[in-house]
Amino acid sequence: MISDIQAFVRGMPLRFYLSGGLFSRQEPMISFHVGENEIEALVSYKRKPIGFEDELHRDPDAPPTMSYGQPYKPTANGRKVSAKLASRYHVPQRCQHLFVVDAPADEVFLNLFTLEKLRRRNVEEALADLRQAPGQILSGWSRNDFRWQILDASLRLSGNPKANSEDPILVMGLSESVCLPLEVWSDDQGAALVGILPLPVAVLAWCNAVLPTDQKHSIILVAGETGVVVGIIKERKLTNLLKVQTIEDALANVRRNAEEFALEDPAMYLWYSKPPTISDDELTQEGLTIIDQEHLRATLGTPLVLMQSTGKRTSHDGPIPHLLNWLAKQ
Amino acid sequence: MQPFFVSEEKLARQAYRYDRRYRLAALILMIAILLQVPFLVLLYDQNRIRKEEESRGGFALQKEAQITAQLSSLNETEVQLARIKSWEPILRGRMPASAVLGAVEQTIPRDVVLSRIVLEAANYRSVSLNPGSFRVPATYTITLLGEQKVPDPGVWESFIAKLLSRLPPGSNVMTSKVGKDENPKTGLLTCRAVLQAQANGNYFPLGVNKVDAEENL
Repeated sequence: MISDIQAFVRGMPLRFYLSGGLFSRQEPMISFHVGENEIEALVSYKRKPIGFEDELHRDPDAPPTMSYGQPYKPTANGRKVSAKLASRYHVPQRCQHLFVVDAPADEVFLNLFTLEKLRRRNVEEALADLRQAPGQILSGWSRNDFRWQILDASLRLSGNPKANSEDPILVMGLSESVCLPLEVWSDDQGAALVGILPLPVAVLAWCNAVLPTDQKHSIILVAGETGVVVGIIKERKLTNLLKVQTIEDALANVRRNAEEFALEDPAMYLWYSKPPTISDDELTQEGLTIIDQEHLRATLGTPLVLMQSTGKRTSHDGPIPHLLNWLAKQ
Repeated sequence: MQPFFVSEEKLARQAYRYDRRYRLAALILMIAILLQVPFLVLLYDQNRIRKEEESRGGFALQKEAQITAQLSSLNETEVQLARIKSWEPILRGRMPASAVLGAVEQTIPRDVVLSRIVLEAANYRSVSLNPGSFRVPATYTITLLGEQKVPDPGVWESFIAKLLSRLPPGSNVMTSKVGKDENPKTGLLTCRAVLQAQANGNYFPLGVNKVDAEENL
């Protein structure tokens, strides 16, 4: 008890309390899309999108990117980027951070299992064992520098995942080399950390919530900067997950395993953060619906009207602002 | 949203921000600290006063040492001044003869002619000083002999009374006589008076000026 009090007195965020955090109910959230070299950020407050920064990577105090060989060096002097964004968009200085990371393929683990296959009784037990000794639960897994999370097949980001022994669960792993620099940077900014989400998971969850995946079997291709993740969703539940290198590989894989997937007149969607090498026409011929500005405008109706760093208000129909906005509301 | 991939340590620290129990504890703690502020201010003020007093005490001690050093350099002067002061009884007993003569000159009437003025020291007392013992007179005897051109004896008496008033306080007339001259042709009266003047240092009636300030010495 006394040690708890001592720990609290030693670690209490006095600056946060004194800046009004003691009585605050809502804080602005800065949602970052962290790519290999590029960073975008959406500032939202009270569940409303306020501003969008499409070139935040140019700021010297920007969060660490996912590129290899560039260790994160925190800036010693100068104003923190979170404080800058908060004052630029006239929101309180106390911020929360959410990161959507387009991490390299070998720094992310994504796979669908069932509790039966993992030989665990419930999600909590499976998660505890994953965190303690991942090699014992995932055969052949040798790395111990991963953090682990589990989502149920409905890909709900809030609430505890619930699954029976035969229901698919999404086991997610993210390496410490991705998480720790972001956590340290966020700590240095004096912000709270809401979460770090791998881009494919965030996109699949968003697509499952926004697209009519309950009406049609859906194949969703999430093309990141270093790979493609294919998620097959039936009746709002993720049933299959594939990790491949390119969009062509993904399409070939889907065709090859069409019988196994048991898809009935599926809708195919493509979400990409960067335009792929294949032209949009070719992709359309393959039967893919590209989740681009046009599609989003048609699906969601209204564009996001966001303030730019210049102070000018502009409409945004891009997939990343919509994704970050949706995540900020979860 | 679940705290995806956030470390346990970070989550524990974040609980301090958002958990109501921790917020309440922080509020109580901050109020308790605020309540201590007056005492802290008082303590600070007392500490400041104590330091000031110590500083002033130190300064006073320093000043005292400085003054002591200066006084030690004045010791010799003080000894010399004390030696001069010890000469005071001797100096006080020295009646200024010129002043007595001046008083006689200023008070003598036109019809009186003095043939002899004798000023003698008397009633010696011994004063011991560092070099030895000195004899210092306590009184002076002033003997006046003369003649008066007019037959009125009051002229001489008036002269002696005026002269006595110019002598130091406590002085007196021992004898004063006016007699007929042995030569009747001249018609002059012989006069004689003996006065005793106190050598008490108060020679101001004689016209000796007071020394007002030390720097005039």
